Amino acid sequence: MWSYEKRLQYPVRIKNTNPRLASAIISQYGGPDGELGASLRYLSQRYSMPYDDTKAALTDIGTEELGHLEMIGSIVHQLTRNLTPEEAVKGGFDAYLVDHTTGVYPQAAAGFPYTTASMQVKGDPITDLHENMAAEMKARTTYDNILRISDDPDVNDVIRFLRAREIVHYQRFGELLCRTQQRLSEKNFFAFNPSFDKKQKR
Amino acid sequence: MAEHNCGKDNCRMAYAVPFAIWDLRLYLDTHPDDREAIEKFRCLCREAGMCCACCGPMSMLPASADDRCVLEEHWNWIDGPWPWEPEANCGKGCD
Repeated sequence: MWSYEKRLQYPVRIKNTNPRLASAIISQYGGPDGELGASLRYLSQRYSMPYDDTKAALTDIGTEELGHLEMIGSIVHQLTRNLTPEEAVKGGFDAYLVDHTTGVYPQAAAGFPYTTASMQVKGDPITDLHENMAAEMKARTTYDNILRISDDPDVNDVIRFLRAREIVHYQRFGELLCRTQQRLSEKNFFAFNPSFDKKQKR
Repeated sequence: MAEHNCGKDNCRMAYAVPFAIWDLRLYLDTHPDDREAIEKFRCLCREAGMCCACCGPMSMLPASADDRCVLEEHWNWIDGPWPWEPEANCGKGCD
């Protein structure tokens, strides 16, 4: 189970209203490479993992991603909390405003709602760990793209923190992949699903 | 770290120390027998007044809540059974 800490993992304090930037950053809330998908992916993959270190890391990283979801929600909220309808129209935020006012809704920058179709839980530790390394790199690229279009230092400071976390998580998943492969026997040299096939043999 | 939301010393205790503890947790998940990292983890937990490996993620319990973790040389947070496994779940009539 979980308990809640009443603070952000890293502080978010944004001075300027910017609906255009908010509608881009919301992709990391509910987009295909966003924090919600990351958390759900890792926390769901835990059940079929055969090794304790991988169960632990998926639990911890999946938990941290929920903290990042909260940080992205805070950025979107602070970028739009003082928004006027005129600013929304001028900033290309009018379609979002009609659907959600200034509520924080899990959607991609392109407007489509959050979907689990952009993630996978394959039940094979090797496959899932590769998926996770790719997921961390996709999120890192998204943060790089946000930094390419944002000139708000208050926002960029937080985005750089989140970007660095993707790199750390990528490193951890790489170590887990390495540790998982080391546990395979010569009979499973090609690294087919070590958890499911082991069960079938019993 | 940008020093908004709080003053310099407060920032260390409010964000920097818990973050360092958290990042060491992730490192220890894949390096569970790195004694130097376990010692660093304990040291930071003491500074933050937190318990260490025995507690769940980010738990803010007093350091005295469980002294067993201080004796461990292995990152036992990773050790099973995990909550979704039947071995971890007490049924009826369980002591």
